[in-house]
Amino acid sequence: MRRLAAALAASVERRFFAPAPLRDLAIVRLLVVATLLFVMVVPYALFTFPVWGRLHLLAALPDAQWHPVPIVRLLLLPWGDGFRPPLVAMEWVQRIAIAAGVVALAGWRTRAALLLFALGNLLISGYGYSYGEHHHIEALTVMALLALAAAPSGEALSLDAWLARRRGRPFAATSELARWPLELMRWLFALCYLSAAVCKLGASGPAWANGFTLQAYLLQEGVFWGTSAGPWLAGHHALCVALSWATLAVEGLFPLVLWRPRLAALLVPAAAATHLGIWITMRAPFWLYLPLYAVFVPWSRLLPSHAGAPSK
Amino acid sequence: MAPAERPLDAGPPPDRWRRRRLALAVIAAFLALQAVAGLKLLSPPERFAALAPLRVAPNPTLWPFLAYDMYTQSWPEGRAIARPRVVGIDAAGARHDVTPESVGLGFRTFRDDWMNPLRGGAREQAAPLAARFAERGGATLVELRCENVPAIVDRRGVVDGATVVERRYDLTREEPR
Repeated sequence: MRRLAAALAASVERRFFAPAPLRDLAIVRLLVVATLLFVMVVPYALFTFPVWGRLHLLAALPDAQWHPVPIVRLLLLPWGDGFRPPLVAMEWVQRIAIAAGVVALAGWRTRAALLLFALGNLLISGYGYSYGEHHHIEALTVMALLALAAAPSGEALSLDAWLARRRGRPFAATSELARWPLELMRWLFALCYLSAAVCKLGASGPAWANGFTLQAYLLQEGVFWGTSAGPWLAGHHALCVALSWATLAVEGLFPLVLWRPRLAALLVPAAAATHLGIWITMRAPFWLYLPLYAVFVPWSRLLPSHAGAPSK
Repeated sequence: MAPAERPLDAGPPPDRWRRRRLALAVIAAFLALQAVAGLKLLSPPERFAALAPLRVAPNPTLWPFLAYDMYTQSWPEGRAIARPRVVGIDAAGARHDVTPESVGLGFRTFRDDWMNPLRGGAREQAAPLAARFAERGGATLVELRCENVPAIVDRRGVVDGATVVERRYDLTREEPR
């Protein structure tokens, strides 16, 4: 038992706390924050039904529909159990979150700014899902922001780093705390895709891949959103059978990237292509996953390190 | 942490273990919560009646930790999907498709503000929609119909089912027929 615990501890140490380039973490911060800021400022550019653009519609719903998800209930507890914030309060939360996002993007007092940005988005999205309907598009991004806020993600490519250099006390290029948020996001991606496969097979078994299922969903969503690609693809049964099995394979096998990182070169583009196809045919907008896939990219091996800042 | 607290030559930061503990707590909590939510450990399928007491945290109770259970139900061959449309009839009895483009509206506006209300019996919407159709070069309509052309999925692809007329609005009279 003791040996098992020791092996587990060593594995956690190696996977999550081996020294890693801070620049990799900073690149993920820049990509995730910039993308989320963009969709918050221009909600309808990429999304069909974004929470950031319909706070006024949600606020107009009757109190009877307000069933806050537990995390929202917890965040709003200082104002009373079950408190429903008015529209003006939510609009201020959104403004403050955007301002915090801009500061986090610039990398000034990065941790505090990221934490504020994360909590703002946690509250805004949670507020949107407290009326009896929920979606999955922001969940991983909110988790990523919280993890980035708890890590030294502002110690490279940031004003914080520039100020430290000016003071003659630059940050190191690597840190034992630079790896864990990226590894955590890889695990969360794996769990989410595994969940998608398990839920399909748990609810329907192999019949989910009978082709008719995908045809029906493509047609249903295509008709609802007015796309031509969905109904077109629904007209090709054999192709739908193949795509159904491909979807299950990508989702079910995705966790393998945790043990065989090279598989990310195959599975991440496959997952991205799946989401792109889903958007084209069914308008499900998983755009926020694109910057998150950056956690699978070995940036420091791909990009040359700049002078004076040796990278591992 | 303020930037100046970790100079290059100062060795490990004094709060190193506190940071590590925070990281470990975040890692453990996030992975545990996502595993519980994602694998529906606290929300087993309803067909397992014996597991009902475990059904304490269905989506989105643990939000942002979720089960990714979208589009999970399988469909058998031959099931129909509703495909609503609006059709206009002119004085000569000719049919005209009333589409978002033909009345100068976006798809969602057409669907949510015009077609769906008409399907639900909103007679007051019929004449204005016919007027928009005529204003944009369409025919003068005497009747507006909400139809459903069911789409049936099978091995051949998508097959049209028999058209069902859901509503008729006589534009020459006050009351619906």
